Amino acid sequence: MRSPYEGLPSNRFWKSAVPEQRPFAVAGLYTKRFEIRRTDRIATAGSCFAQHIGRNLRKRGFNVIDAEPREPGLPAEIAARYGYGLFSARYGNVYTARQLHQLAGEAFETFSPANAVWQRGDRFFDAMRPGVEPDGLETETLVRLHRQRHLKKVASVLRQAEIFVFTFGLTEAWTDMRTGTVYPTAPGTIAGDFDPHIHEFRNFAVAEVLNDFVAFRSLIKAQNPAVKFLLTVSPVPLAATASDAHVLIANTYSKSVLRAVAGELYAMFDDVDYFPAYEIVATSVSKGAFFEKDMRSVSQAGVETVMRAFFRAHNPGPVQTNERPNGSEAPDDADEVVCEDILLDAFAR
Amino acid sequence: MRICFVGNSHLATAKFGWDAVAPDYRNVEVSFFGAIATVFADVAVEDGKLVPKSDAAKQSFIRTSGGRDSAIFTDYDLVILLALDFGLWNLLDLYDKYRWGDQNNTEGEYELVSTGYLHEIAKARLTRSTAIRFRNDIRKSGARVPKVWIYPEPMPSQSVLTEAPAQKSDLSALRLEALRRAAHWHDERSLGTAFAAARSFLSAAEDIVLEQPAHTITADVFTQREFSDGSIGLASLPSPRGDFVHMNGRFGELMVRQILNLAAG
Repeated sequence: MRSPYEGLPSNRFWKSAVPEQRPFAVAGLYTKRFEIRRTDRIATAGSCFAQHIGRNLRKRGFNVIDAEPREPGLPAEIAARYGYGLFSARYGNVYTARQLHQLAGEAFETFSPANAVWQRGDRFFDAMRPGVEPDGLETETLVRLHRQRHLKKVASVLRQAEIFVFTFGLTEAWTDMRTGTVYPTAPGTIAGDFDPHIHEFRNFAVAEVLNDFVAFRSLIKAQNPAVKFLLTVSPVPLAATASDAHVLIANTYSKSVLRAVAGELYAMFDDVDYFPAYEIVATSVSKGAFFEKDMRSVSQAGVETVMRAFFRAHNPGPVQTNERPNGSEAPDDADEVVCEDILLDAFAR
Repeated sequence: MRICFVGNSHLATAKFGWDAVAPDYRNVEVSFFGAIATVFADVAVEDGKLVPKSDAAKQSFIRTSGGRDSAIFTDYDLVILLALDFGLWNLLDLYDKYRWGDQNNTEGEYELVSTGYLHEIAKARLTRSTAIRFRNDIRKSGARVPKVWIYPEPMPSQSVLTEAPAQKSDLSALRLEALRRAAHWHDERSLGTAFAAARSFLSAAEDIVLEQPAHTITADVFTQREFSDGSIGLASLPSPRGDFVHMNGRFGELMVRQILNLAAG
């Protein structure tokens, strides 16, 4: 009698692939689908965990696009408060696939958000990235001017990227129910006012997340046919849920949806790769060792383990100084990631 | 009271000022250690001393101090760090690269940034100035640390708006041109606000960052012509016509009196 499991490699069996492995170096977990060369123009976007990926790529001398660079000499942690150096442009954290689709739509002028300027006191904020200006701007007009210029930079990023790295973060979002515009944070968290007659909670399903990313892919491919995608799912659990479920249940739903979509996209498109940062940090192989005491923040060891696994597969060798953009030194990126959703802890009882 | 002035080319203004007011302050001893800005790259604060690291710096200190090639800060009650990259002057080229707030000029290539971010850049720039670096090094250097005050570079002369500047170095010309352009568009006050924000941030309670007397300033960012005509610098005496960076002896007198009166408490 023959079994279809006969002769499969050891990484197909739980006993040999998980409990017998060291969490710091799980063998055979990831096989890259395509090369990422140090010279490839890489764009990064996604939830706050994606900031780790961009930062580590830059440290290794990869050519990560920075369309809105910080002023030379300005400390990285200060620039990060203003959204500089976190991603390939100052779009802040892009938590949902809908938000990513909207961003590309705005950049290529196929989408215009509703109620795009929020207020806090006498200051005005870009509702589509309220975290990148901690004190807001002086006028609504200025917010719109800043956004126009930012979107040109976003378009240039999307047109020139050879590899687009995206980390799926959330399925939950707040929308303008009249137009469907999705915001990165709930109105009233950083700025704006929550109005139950206007704002509506959404928890996206697999089909919606999938469709959003497919639509995003089509938009960018129309401008940049050669671009490839590297997807990850953030292992960072939800800070809070607006659903009526326990946050643990809501988190499992959210991550399950995102992981399923990433798998679907991998199966659908040859230009999509999936890197298992989520599996390394958040599944039983790590025995919870890669979370801090709050059981939510990913520890430095966790980040390092993820990146080691990544660079084992994508390893173009030691960086030469002349391989860095403009022959520059290794960047002094901010150590801390910037996460708006941590603000929700302030509302916890 | 013993006071040590350490400064770049603006030190000449202070020296002229001191020469004029010294008879009124008979209980004050003043020393000067100066060098032009490019030479100050070869000067360090080590173990409570101002140490020249090049022969040019050494010779300049000997010339300005009347024979000494280094300053021992514990010999003084008060150290004045004059200019040394700390001033609006060090921020002017930001107007070439950025626009912020409600500025009027929308011509040319520039990055649009928030006022808050621009002020952070200004703080970072001035934090890296020689004046702040020396202040920090002096404070770290020993048990008996004198008071250390910073006196900023004077605002450029308002004559820059009506006359051709003599400053020919790329950076100086660039900065003066940026200021002229800002004034043309009525954007100059936003530069003054950026400097004020940075100065305020960097003023510690025990180490004062002084302010240029208000009555010498016009439109927030210019020194009035009467304090710059006949200006003097370390490199040449008097400064060439069209020097809009250095001030004259009258300004120096005001500056020194301001410092001495504040020191007297």
